[in-house]
Amino acid sequence: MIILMLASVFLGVFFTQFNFTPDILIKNSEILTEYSLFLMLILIGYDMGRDKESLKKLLNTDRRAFLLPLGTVVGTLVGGYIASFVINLSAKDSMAIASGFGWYSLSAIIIADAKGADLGSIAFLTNVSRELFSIILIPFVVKYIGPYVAIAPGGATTMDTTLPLIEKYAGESAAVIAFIHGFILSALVPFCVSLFL
Amino acid sequence: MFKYAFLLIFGVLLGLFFSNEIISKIKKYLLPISILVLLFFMGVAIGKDTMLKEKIAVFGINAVTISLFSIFFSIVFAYLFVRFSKK
Repeated sequence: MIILMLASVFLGVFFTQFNFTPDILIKNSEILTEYSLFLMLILIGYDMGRDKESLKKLLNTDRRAFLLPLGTVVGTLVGGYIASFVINLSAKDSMAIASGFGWYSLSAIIIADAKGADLGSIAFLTNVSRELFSIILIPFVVKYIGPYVAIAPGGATTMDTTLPLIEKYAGESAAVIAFIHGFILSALVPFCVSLFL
Repeated sequence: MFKYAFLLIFGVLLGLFFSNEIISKIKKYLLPISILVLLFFMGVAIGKDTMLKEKIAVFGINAVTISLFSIFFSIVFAYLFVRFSKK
């Protein structure tokens, strides 16, 4: 899926740069984007609501398991804030981008819709690279810091793409926490991103 | 700007109380398609920019900086919170 998603973005860029995209699509791209985004958000919510097993797991977990997602959220926002001193972006924009927690498709589209394509594409690249760096880092964090801390870099991806990796390196009990961690962070993405728009 | 969150909550309620096979089947195809269409249009919006070639390197540097900082501080705060919870 990630290859298809990257291909979609690149096709959009190339077709338009070389004038292959019909004008009618370019003119109406904002409205089309807006409504498909609304549809996508409802569908993602529908998936979460239908997944009653995960909701049950979430309600029955040890309260301490919620400290880890809290640490990831606080750390990510602090990271986004500090990054804004190094790069040429406002603290709010940088924190909105960081609030994607690695969920590049959703965060990039929301930010592109609200703040324009430039910021949207930075959000896309940021969150794709967060997933890639997490995949590289997880085995090292497990080894040198601890199995539960290794869940944090993955952000929202720990319920799907980075979950097998966490299970392999950090073990079964960390994988359960990782799933809940990813579920909570995924649900938080639209809220946290909205907070900084 | 909380319309995104409201739409998500609306979807969650829909899933909780009105889930059925037909919606699930439609969703299975509609969701990936809508994501790909949206990303294509984001690409279109980026491609419209005639200054794109000058900007793209800056985008990449910004992106890597934000992701590395947020990963680093996620690890730091998760470590602190996990230690705190053990006490």
